Amino acid sequence: MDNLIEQLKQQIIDELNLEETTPADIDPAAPLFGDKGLGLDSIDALELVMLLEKYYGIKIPEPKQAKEVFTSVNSIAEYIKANKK
Amino acid sequence: MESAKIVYAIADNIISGLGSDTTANADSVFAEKTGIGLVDDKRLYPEPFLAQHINDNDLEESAIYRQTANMHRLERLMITSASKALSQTAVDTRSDNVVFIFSTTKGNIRLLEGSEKVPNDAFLDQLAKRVANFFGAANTPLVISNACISGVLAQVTAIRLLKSGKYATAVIIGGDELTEFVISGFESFQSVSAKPCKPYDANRDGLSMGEGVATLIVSTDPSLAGEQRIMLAGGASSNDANHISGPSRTGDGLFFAIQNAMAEAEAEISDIDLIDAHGTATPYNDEMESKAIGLAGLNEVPLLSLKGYFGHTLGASGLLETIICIECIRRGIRPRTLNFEQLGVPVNVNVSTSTGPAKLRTILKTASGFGGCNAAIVISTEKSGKLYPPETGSTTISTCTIADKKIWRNGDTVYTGNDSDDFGQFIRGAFKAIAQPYMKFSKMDDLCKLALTAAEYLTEGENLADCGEEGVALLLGCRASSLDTDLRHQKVIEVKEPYMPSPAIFVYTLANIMQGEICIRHKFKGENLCLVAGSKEECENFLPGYADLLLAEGRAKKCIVGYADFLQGKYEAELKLIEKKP
Repeated sequence: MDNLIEQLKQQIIDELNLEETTPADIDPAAPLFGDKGLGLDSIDALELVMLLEKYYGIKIPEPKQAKEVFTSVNSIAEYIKANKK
Repeated sequence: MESAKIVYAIADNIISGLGSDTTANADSVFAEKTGIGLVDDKRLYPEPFLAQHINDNDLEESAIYRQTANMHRLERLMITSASKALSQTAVDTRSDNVVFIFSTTKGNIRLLEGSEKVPNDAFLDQLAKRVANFFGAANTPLVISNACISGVLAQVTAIRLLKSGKYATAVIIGGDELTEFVISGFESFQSVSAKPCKPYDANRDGLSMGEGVATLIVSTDPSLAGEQRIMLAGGASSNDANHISGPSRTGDGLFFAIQNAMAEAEAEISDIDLIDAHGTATPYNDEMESKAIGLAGLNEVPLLSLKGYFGHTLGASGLLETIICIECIRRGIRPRTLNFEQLGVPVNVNVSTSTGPAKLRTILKTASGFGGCNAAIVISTEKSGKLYPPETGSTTISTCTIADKKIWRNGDTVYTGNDSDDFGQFIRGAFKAIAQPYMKFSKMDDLCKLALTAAEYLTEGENLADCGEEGVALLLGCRASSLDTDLRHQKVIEVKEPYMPSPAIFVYTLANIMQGEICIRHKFKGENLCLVAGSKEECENFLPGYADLLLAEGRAKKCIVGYADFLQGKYEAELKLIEKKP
C-alpha cells in the first residue's frame, strides 16, 4: 500500500504538471480538491480519471463516483486496490 | 463632435446541415426541426456521436463553391456564405470603407493532421486574408478568436468600428468545421451528451456538436438598411475571472456584459422581448446563465437556446444565432427551446416552450466561453443605441517587453535569463523573480506563461483595484494563436491505442485562454478581446485605436493592450498599460 501511495503521488505530480510540488509535500490523507491541500480543479479531476485508466486500467463510469474516489491520495489508493484486475 | 452613426443589419446568410441560406435554416427552426443526428465516422471520432453538420453535396449547386475547389473547405464555405449575403446588397467589397471581420476558433485546423510543423495556411490570418482577397478587400481583415463568444464579440467589435466612423460597413464571417480536433477535446471534457442537448432542462448532461458558417453584413449607410430596419444597438464583453473552463458560480461576468450592452442600446428590462442565450446544455453553463439573467432582472423574459437545432457551432454560433434572431424579428415568430421539458437551473427563468407568433422588437443575444469570456449584444427594430463620445487618445502608464530571454519594464532591463535556459526555465525563473508561488502557473501552456508573466511585470506596483471590478480591459493580439498547443493536442489524438485526448491540453487550444489566466490572477472582469493577425505590426494597427474607443466611451478606466505570441520556442510579448488622456 505504501508503495502504491508513493507511486501515485509521483504520477499525480507528473500528469497534472505540479512542477513545484514534491511527493513529500503531499499528505496522503489531505483533501486533493478545494482551497486546502493540493487545490486541484475540475480539469485535474478529468486528468485523474485518465491517470487511473492509463496506469491501472480502471474506468470510473460515473462522474459522481469520481468525486468520492478523488477525496485524497489514500482514497484513490484504496479504490485501485479494490478494483485492479 | 459625437458620431451619429446607427448600425443596421443589412444582409445575411447561414450554411448548416439545415440549409444553405437564412430562409431554409429559419424555416427549420420555426418547424421545430433539428439538424442534430447520429454521426458514425471514424475519421472524426472512434465511436458514433451526435452532431449537426454541413452536407457538402448540398453546396454543389453553388457556382462559387464549385469555382473555389482549390481552396480549403472552411474557406470555400465562408466564401460561399459571404457571396450569398453580398448578393442581397449593394456593398462594394473593394471600398476602403469596408472591413472584413472573421470569427473562428480553429480555422483550417485540419491541416495539422500528420504534420510536424505548422503549415502556413493553418494560421488564422491566412484563412482570413485568402477569403477577404477573394472579394478584393482593401483593408487587412480582422480575426476575432475568442472561444465560443467569437461570433458575438465580432459583432461587438463591428458595432464599435462602425459607430466611431472608422468604417461604413463590416462583412462579418464566422465558421468552424466539425473536426476530430474539437470533438475529441469536448469529449475529453465529458461535455458531449449521448442524447440531443437539452438546454436548461433538469436532465441536461452536455452539449451536441455542430457545424455552421454564417455571414452578417452591417452598415451605417441608411440607404442599404432595407424597409424593416434592424439595428445592432449595443454590445459588450466581460470576463468571469473565475476559471479557464468552468463558468462563474455567480453569473456576475455575463451579467456585466448584459448590463453594459443594454446600457449602450438604451434598452430597459421591459424592452427585451426575447433572450437568445448561449444555452449549451452543459450543467454549469446553463446554471450560470440563469443566475446572470436573474441578476439582470430578466427572469420573466422568454429565454431561447438554439443549440437543440444547430448544436454548438463554435466560431459560427454567435453569428448564426444572431441571424436567426433577426429572422425571428422579421417574421414575428418566437421559437421554442428544443428538447427542453422541465426547468433544471437554480434561477427561475422563463424558457420558451412553444413556437408561435410574437411581437419581437428587441432581442438580447449572449454567449459565454472557455477562458471565462462573455459577450452580449442587443438587436432591435426600435433601439439604435447611444452615440459615441469623441476620442481623446490615451497615455501610457507602463510597458513590458519579453524577448530573447530578457524582460524590459518601461524600457529598463529588469530580468535576464541564463544563456543555457530553454523557454520553460527562463519564464519560470522570470515569474518566480516577481511573484509568490502560484499553483496554476506550472499547469499553463507556454503562451499563457508568457502573457501572464508580461502582465505581472507590467502591472507591478500599479493599483488597478481602484479601477473597479470591470475597470480594466484586456485587448491582446497574437500571430500563432494557440497553434503551439494545437500541435500537442493533435499529436495526442493521433495515438489511437490507447485514445486519450487530454482536457488539460485541449483547454489551451484557444488563444484567449491567456486573457482568462490574466483575468483570474488579477480579478479583471472588464472587456476582453483576442485578435489574431499576421504580425505584431498588424495588431498594433488595430488594438491601440480600439482601446482608445473603449476608454473614450468609459467602458474601461485602464486597458492592457498588446501582443503575446509563442510558437515552437519562438516568442515575443509587448504589453502596455494605458489610460485615457486627462
